[in-house]
Amino acid sequence: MRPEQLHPQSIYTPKPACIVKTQALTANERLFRLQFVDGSPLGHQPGQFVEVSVLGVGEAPLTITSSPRQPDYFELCVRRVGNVTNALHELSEGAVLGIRGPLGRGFPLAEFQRQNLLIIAGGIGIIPLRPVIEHVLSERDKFKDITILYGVKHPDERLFRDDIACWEGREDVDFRLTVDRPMEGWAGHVGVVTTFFPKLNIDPLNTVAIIVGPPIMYKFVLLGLSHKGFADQKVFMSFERRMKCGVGKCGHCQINGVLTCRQGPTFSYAEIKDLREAIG
Amino acid sequence: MPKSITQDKLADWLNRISQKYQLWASQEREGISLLSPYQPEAGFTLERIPQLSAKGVLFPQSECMLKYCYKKDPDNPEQTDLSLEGVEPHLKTVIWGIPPCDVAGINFFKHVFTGSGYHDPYFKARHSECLIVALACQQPETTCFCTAVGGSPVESPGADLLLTRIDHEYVVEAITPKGAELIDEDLFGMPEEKILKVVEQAKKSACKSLEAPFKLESLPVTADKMLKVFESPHWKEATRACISCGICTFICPTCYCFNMADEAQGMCGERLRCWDACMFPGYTLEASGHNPRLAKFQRYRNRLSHKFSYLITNNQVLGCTGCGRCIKECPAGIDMRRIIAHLLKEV
Repeated sequence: MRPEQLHPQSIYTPKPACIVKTQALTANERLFRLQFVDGSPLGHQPGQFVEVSVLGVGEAPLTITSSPRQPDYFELCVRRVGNVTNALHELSEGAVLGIRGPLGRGFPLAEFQRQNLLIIAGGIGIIPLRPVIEHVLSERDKFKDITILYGVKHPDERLFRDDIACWEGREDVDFRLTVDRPMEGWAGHVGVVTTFFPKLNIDPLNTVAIIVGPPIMYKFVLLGLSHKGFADQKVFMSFERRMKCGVGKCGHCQINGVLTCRQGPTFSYAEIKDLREAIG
Repeated sequence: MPKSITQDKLADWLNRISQKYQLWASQEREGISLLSPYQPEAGFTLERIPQLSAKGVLFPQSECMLKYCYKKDPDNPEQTDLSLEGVEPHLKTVIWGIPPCDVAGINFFKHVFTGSGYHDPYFKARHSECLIVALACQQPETTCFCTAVGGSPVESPGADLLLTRIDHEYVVEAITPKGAELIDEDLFGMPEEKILKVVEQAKKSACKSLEAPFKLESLPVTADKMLKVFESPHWKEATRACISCGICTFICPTCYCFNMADEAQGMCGERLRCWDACMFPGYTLEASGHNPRLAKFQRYRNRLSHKFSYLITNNQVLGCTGCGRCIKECPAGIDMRRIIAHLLKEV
């Protein structure tokens, strides 16, 4: 009854992408390698996200976890937590999804050159930081000292263990892992990620901190960095709000007057410090 | 020059419009006035402000955004193809007889859906083929306050035609050339000079009848003041009775938040866009369980701060048209006029 006209370029219409590889990383997280069916590259920046559709179930925002250096495919790491992510976990290689993006603003990596980097990940916060780490390691000579702190609740929750082995093996990266609750035989560090701070020898004037983790981690890491003498504009973070439409229209991800999906999801602390709903 | 039409010819005019356009007009149903697709046998009313705003014509409560279909290759059952097709509505529409506050609401949507940033293709397509016939509001209700938020009950920028009723006659002013085409009919006459004077008088007295519940300064000053009262204890006090039902957002001519949901039928289906409400606790709930606006006072504060501050900063527009529906329909008796007036006195 209602006349309709097709409009393929709609900002709300996803593009079909095929799962070319999938791998369980932990009991709750899976890695998906995807390619657009039409063969086009995603063309993203580290820190950007995509809206992933399992048509018939729904759409969810997921941060891209692969480096833009591999234009043939992109990767998403997905914790099963809601309808869409649970449906995703049921899919195997060959399944076709809908993708919108890349969306949002990535980390300003060019601005970080000639600086020391302090990268801090809490739990699945490592997912958006993995492409950042891959990028800075692939252009290692453009950055000074690189320190990576990664905290998980339990050793079983460690993601990207092959990458971790690689980062740990490098002489030019100071990679440190910690767990809140060790398992038997655990020889590594125990405690929340901020327990590394007292012995961390860092020059706050020439270092950029990039932190991604749960709200509680932000609270304590920001406090720790401020004690270390970090200026607010030297601290970068990523916010995961409920980015439903991803294009600044639906309203769900709004923090005070800021639309996380368009103005973020990456912010410097200076940009969001005065937003009173940003860090609760 | 304005034209005029007598009341007994309005039905003929509507019938003619409805042959060329999808026509929306208010119908009286069980004592309330509802903007609905026009049906000649159901008649129409111009007696009071429609209970729902006109936003639903251009931004339906539920609409299809895209259609999808999975297809299995019979020769290779492992292989599944997915087709995705966006749906763009194309429909010549006339919205007839709405008050200027609802036209202001449509003007507001232009700012957020087709202003800066991405353009919303569904609203844009509907709006580009829509004509608006406004009716000057000569007897504002006790909940009305359009003049306090920069509006007027009797002028309607953004509309294509403006009707003003004088006894059994309607004076019709064409605001746009497209509007003028709608009144190029033998049903219209030329109003007498004295009628036009009566129109002017009637408009003046309608404006005078409205009291301003609060006085806003410039938009940037208002935006700044509302930020300053963010921590005011009044938010909590004033919203104690709120039951988070969301009716204020549903009937509001400027509330535009939406959600998206899939409806599957076997291997194919549709993605629907449906109105959502920032007053619902689940609105900001994240997958992790974290909820940035768990308390109802936070959600109410966000709603009014959005309308009176964030939208001014981001889109240079105030998010309230003064229609008063949220006051009239709130089951808890929350009156945003009093809250704004109270807060503005704190700074």
